[in-house]
Amino acid sequence: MDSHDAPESTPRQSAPSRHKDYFIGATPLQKRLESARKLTSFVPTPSRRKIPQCPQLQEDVEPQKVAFLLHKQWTLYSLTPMYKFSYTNLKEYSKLLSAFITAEKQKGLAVEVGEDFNIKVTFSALLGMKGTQRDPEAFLVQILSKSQLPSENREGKVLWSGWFCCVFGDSLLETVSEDFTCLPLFLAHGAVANTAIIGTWFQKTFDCSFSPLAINAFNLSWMAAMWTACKMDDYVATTEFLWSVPCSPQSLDISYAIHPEDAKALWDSVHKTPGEVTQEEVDLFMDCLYSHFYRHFKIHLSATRLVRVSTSVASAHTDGKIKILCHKYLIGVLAYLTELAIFQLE
Amino acid sequence: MDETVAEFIKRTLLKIPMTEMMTILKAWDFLSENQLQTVNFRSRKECLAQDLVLLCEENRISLNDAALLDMIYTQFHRHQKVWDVFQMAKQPGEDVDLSDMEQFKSSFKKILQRALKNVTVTFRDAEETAVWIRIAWGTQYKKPNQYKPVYVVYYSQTPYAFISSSQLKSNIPLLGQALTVASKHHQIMKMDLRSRYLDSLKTIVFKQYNQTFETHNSTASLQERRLGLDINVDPRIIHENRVEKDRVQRVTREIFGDYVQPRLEFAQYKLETKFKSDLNKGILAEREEPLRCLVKFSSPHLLEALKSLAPAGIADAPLSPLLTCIPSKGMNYFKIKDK
Amino acid sequence: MTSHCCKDAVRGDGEDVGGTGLEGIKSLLVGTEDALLQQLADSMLKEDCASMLKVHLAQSLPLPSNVNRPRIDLIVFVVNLHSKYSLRNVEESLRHVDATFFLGKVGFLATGAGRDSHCSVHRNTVLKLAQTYRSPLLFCDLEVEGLRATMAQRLVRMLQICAGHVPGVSAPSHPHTHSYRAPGLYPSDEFHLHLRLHLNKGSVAKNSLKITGLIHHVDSADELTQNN
Repeated sequence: MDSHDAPESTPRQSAPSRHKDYFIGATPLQKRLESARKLTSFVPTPSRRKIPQCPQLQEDVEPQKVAFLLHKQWTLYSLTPMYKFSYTNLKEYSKLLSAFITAEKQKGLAVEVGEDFNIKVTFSALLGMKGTQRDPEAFLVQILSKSQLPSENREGKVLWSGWFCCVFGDSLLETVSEDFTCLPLFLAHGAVANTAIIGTWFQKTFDCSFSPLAINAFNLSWMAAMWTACKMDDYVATTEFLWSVPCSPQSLDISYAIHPEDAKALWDSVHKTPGEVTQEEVDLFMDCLYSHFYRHFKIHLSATRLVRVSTSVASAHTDGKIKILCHKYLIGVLAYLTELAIFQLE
Repeated sequence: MDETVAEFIKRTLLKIPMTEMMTILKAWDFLSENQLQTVNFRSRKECLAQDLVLLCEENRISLNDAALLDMIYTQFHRHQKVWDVFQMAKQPGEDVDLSDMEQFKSSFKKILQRALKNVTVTFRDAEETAVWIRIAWGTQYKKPNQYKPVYVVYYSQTPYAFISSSQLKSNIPLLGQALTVASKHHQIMKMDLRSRYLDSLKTIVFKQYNQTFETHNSTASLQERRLGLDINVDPRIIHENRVEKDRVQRVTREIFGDYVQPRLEFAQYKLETKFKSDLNKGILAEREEPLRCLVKFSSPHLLEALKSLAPAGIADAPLSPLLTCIPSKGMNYFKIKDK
Repeated sequence: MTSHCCKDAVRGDGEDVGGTGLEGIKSLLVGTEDALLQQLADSMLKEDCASMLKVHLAQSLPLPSNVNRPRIDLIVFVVNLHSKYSLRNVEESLRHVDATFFLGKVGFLATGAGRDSHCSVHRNTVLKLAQTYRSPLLFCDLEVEGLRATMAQRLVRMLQICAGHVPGVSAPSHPHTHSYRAPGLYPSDEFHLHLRLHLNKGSVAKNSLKITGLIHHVDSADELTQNN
């Protein structure tokens, strides 16, 4: 099978304090060798992961406060460490970003075409969105429309939200000096134009860079297995997979939904190691789904591309989109995503 | 002229793309050549629509005329609707009655009008003894909603009718009844077949496979594929699996035929079957209950996509009968259970 | 470890003596990605080579024809990282390869690494596979014409060495004689392919030198360096 005892990642030497410099200064040969090294070296990837449990740091995670994070589709990005970011300056950042957006709007890079309203930007800390105490605090940025009429609510409609977090980011935190704040996972919801403007401001202000975080089929399978493994009191959504078949000239999508109780029964039958999910179990779980499908349709799903996975815990799309449905496992989902983000930063 | 009728005509005109405007107006044949010549077709659509509405008023347009325009638009854009297929049956022993079309139409209209005081029914004859019917539903107290009509395409020499899928489902039983009685049938049944492509549905149901349908660059792709299938003439490349490849091509051709397939967008399977695997024998071995699954295949041209799977190595040949029976059984909704 | 099947679905020479030149060089590409294999074969044949090169394409092993088993100089197993099915197919096929082939006449080619978002097979899996079978692993996105052409050049060169057509160079003969780095002992920064340089044809030469080559993602001309 695919079991490989890949060695656990050895502590790296501290990376240069400015990630960017390394790549800018590199010669073409160095860059080529760097990418070559990546391809042919074993990449530390866990062959086993812990099944998400209820978060340990429960005191700060109030369901109401984080309810707005759930049932929303977030677009994922990885973010390099931010230079000289300070949690005490959040109010100032709000003002600066607000001014920046207004200036961009006037330049013609409109936030919303045709609409003319005042906007307000807020920065707020998101308590409890972390794995260990070492993880930096998560924070949220929102663009709100300021209501014109005084009679209406002060807080206008939320036009755009984005939040930065780091859950169990030890492997990255170790490599970075004090001047940097590591929040490698960025989630955005709202117009892409807004995300671009906000991204530009952060990049200019904190010397960091965003990259869209895609999720490949390999990781989607892991997510499917882990989330199916989570103990649920009741299921709010069916377990569903979506494959894109690389046939031409016509495209073909295959959606395969399975009753969540049946998916759980299948998983329980595959699962051997308590508390953990292993590579073999993920492979076997997927193989069972493939073989059940093959028995009926004589199509090899394993030759096609898994693009979307949906469970009662969360749903994820290969384009880097996530929707978290279950408050209980929010931290667990974020932990996996943080891992993917950190991996992409390397 | 009623304001609502004027608004209805205007909204219908605004739906029509400029490139089709002349064609559709001519097909409608309500405004004369002379009248059309007085209109500036280069003006902005809003203005054009206004001008045309004024002309319609001159001709004392009725609601039915306006409904006819809407119907013609829909005939040109039939893919915008999703069509369900219904099959009627006669009493066993009854002969096929070559019923009078006019009688059918008047009977159909009467039945609906008797049941709902307010309903707009419009007919337009089409090719091959088919008739298009447009129905705008009202209630005993409300006027018909012209913006949510249902369309029926009935082939009078056959027991089949195609009905556009609509959100107002409550009137479907009445519609079915009207169809059945007016066409002198005994009962009506909804088939598990649905698609946007009316002509493809027709060919599946009437088993006319060898025609050209709503092709989607398919002639080009057919040629491409033929070139791809040409065995590489370079003698220095030896295909070890030549025999198997030929078998796959042959079997695929036998199942799907050489012609372009009827166009469907999806096939859906509700599965309730036990998990059984040769390789993973222990898994779910004790479980009596089946796995409840819903599988949906979607594609701009489903049957063509399925046809390409085995030659591409993604599926076995022959493909599963669950997939290959779609045209022959005239179904794209299935419920599969263990025997 | 390698399952040493006694089936020899493909006939191979145990000794590292090349062909006589009259039979030509034969390579076998095994993989489920029919179109890619065809394109790669075309690219290989475009390469200007003195000897007669023949490329056999097979979906899997064992080969269907039992009658005329060709003498193969190099088998390349092609795995598409976007398709788990292609990996399984290669794993199955490997079981039908005669043990002698793994003394230098087998190579692995992984395609699709460039588009990580499409990958369902992890790189480590193919790396481990190649290491298990003590055979070189090459990465190349076969869909990209430039990369494919360069890879074709490399494969033809490898073929010539394996068939003994390059004077003074022959394929590695036995794993023990290499200083192969076992995974885990050293941080594996590079994947080494050792070729033994024979000064004259014979199984063990007195002045054998080791060549270190860096097998990496091909995006430029051949960088297999020779230290003389």
